[in-house]
Amino acid sequence: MMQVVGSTTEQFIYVASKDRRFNINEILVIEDRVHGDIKGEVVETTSFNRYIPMAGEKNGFVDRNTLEFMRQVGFSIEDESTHIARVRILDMLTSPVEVGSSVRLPAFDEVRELLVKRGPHQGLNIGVILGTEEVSKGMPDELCDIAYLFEKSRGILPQNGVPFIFDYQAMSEYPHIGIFGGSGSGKSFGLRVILEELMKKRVPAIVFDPHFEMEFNNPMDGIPDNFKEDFSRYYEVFTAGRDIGIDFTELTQEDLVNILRASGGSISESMENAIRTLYKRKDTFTTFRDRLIDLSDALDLGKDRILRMMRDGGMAPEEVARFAGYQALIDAYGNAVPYSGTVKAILWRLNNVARENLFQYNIGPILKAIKSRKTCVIRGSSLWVLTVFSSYLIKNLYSRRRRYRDSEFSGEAVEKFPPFVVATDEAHNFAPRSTPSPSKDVIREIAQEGRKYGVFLILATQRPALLDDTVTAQLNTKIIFRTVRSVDIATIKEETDINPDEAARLPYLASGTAFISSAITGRTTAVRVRASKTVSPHAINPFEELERDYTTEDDRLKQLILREMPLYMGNLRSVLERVNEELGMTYTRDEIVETIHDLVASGQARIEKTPLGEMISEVKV
Amino acid sequence: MEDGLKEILKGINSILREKRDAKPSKMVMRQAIEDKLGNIVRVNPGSKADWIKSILVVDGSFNSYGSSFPYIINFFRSLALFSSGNERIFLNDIYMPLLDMESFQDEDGEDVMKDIRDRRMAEMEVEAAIEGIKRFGASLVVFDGGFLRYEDKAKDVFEDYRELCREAGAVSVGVIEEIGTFDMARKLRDGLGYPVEDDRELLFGVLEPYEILEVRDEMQFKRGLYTVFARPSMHPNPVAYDFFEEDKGRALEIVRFLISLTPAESRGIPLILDIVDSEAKIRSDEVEALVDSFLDKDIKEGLFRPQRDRRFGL
Ligand SMILES: Nc1ncnc2c1ncn2[C@@H]1O[C@H](COP(=O)(O)OP(=O)(O)OP(=O)(O)O)[C@@H](O)[C@H]1O
Ligand SMILES: [Mg+2]
Repeated sequence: MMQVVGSTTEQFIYVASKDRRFNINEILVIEDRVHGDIKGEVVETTSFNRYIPMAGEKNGFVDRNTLEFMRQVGFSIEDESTHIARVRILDMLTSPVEVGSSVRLPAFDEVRELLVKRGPHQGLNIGVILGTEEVSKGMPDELCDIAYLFEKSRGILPQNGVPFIFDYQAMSEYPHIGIFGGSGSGKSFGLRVILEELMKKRVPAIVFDPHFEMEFNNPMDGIPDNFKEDFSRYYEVFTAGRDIGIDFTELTQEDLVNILRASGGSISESMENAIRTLYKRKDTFTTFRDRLIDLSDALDLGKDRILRMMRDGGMAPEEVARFAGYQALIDAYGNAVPYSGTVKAILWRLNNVARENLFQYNIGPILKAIKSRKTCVIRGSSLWVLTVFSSYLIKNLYSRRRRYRDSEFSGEAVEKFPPFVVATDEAHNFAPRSTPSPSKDVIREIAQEGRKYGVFLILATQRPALLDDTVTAQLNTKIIFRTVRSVDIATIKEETDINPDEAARLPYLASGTAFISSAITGRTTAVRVRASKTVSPHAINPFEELERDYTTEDDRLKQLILREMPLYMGNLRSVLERVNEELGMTYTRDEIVETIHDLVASGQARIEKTPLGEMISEVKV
Repeated sequence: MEDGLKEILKGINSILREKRDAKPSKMVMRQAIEDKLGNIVRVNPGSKADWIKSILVVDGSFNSYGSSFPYIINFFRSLALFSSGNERIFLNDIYMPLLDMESFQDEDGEDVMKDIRDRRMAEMEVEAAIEGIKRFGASLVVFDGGFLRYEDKAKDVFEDYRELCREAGAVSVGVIEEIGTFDMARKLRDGLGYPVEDDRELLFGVLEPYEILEVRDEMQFKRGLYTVFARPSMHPNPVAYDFFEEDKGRALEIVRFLISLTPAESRGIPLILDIVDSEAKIRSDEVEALVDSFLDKDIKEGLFRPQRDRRFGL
């Protein structure tokens, strides 16, 4: 029997039970004489046994012996357990709950409204609501077996509760998702699950992938067939500077300043002015770069010298033309950009970007994929390449979408462009709180205005405290994983409706368990994120990887070399070829020699001097 | 701290130091005890005589609400916990001098009230024990505290109780954590040439863990009762156990069993007594809640509000 005990308020009560342990987050129904049936959520649980008090000064630690003798005269120690739950009332009450009211578990239908706002086909199926194991027994079939769970040590487990189905369509009213949590807390895993669901719904998405982990074609080990899904047609992976890039002719001054700033850490005001002065609409990369080179040369020569040389004459016609060009450049820009050092610094940055081949491609492939409702995974050779490219890409896509939407009112003929989602890990790099970043402005703009155009953000970060606060404030749904740092907990408390009990649990959440605080559900729900259907290509433990990929590689090499014996040190070439072919590797001669020495040292082979040079043969045991 | 106080404390310390240093060695004390008082025997903890099938554990508490006599409400509760099935008998009572003014003719009200209170408490504990034996028939009844208090404050019921035990074949024991008697110390003082204050000091740290002092009959000082001493845990504090004279033959077995119920790290009283003690306790917030819900506000404020609450304009 469960009963309301102690003193109560309209918001919190204590419920006690002698025989039933409470589960955190489970929903209970309080049968109050005055208010009728009230629902409450367990936010804290305690159990104690009156016969086994806390070790204290008075009774010390209770030894087993003592309890054993108490049992011998008939005390039943276990019966003295009492379970207590602190329960937060979910209904709005105007007076306290009546003490002594009976409490019971709800039937599924009583909590359906509260827990499942959308059918599994209408929403994103993210995981299982904690504390719903018992109530889920009366669930209709369509809600069962749709969210398998995963535990590192036990593998795939059945769904043990009511699924958490995220009403993604309500994002048009309450846009954007934040995913927060410390290292290893389950952000990437959770993001993967959300992306899988978005792919199923064929919502176009741009996913920045700083860790090269967003690949969706390796199925998770051990998932049942009915849970498997082939995503290969729903996503494409692009790498900036390899198959996609920045179309220089489409850049604005602003873009260029941002790109060059990101490529070299920071830029001075004079450099920024110089860029704005020197960049011309319709410039290609080459025209712009040549202008910089020429101006730099001209400034090095100096106006006087150029004039003198032109006056002195005696130059070939193309020389004359060159100097005339110099003079024109100095006349045009010499006042605004008086020092060649400034121009050289810009050139250096420009070359950094060019070296990444960023200006050799465009975003055509991405546009095509987005229009066919795919998820585009975007990578870059380094974080700065990715941030530089992302700012350009997001801006470009966002303005296409905007222009299209606006054209629906203006009647202008603009190419159709679909709504889409922008997702990224390490979001604090893309929209940092107090430092500038090329992508920050556009992310801010989408955070504030994106809803109108159907452009939504999913931002994951380890450091919510470092994320731009304007952006954070616009994330209407926040998925909060384990967080230990107190500054981050403080930010989370400020930015969500998470209550103090939940905040206190944040440092202890298991990987993959999160509080989802959402304006869409209007409350905070504790959720175990479901098993992903796919795994990251490098989900493997690096030490396991060492064992698998390297020790065995080495062993196989030794095996092959042993098979080649007897062999002559003077004739390793053919051995090398065969070995490399067999193993698909590119071992060098030196590595082979080293391996042979290893084999000799470990007694598996021996060296003999022969007329044909050193011969190595296997030692059979 | 003020210098004067310092000097006084220093002085006290040196007196106590001197006294302590004069204390004879443990060996000498033990010898004297064995010569004059009785045997020291060591028992193995962890034993239970077969006849002990079930126990009844008794304790009580009181608390009060109010400003000053006679505007005081006394709350009493006694508890008898029976081992089999963890059955409980709770007795509750209230006593208000205001409704009993004829008991307070011209004597000092506070003193009389204290006496009435002690009587009522002792009676209720014995009543709970009687009820427990009648209802459950325990083989052993354990009280928190010695028997002298019941003989003094609840003579009649306690006699009835003793009679009932005899008929029912129940054995009773009172466990005394704070020994307050002087009799043995007085007897040994001269022989030791050292002014042992009381029985507790005499035995403190002198018995080894699990040693029992079986005091010889002629040295028993509580009339009609039989008392055994022991050190039931690692703690140096001695504990006394009161029995009815007629149960003397069972005393050693019972003390051994009670030692088994005593955690080795505790101050020496059986765990179950601690539990009953805290269950019987009437907490102040309980008193407040009761008063709040059953007394009208003007009555409460006008008559009973404790002075300390009124301070600071509360
Ligand atoms: N929903 C989940 N169910 C089961 N296990 C999970 C879940 N989420 C995460 N884990 C486990 O925790 C590990 C770390 O998760 P993940 O890589 O998502 O962390 P992260 O928050 O992205 O960390 P980092 O910030 O360091 O990238 C996973 O490899 C997985 O073993
Ligand atoms: Mg991660």
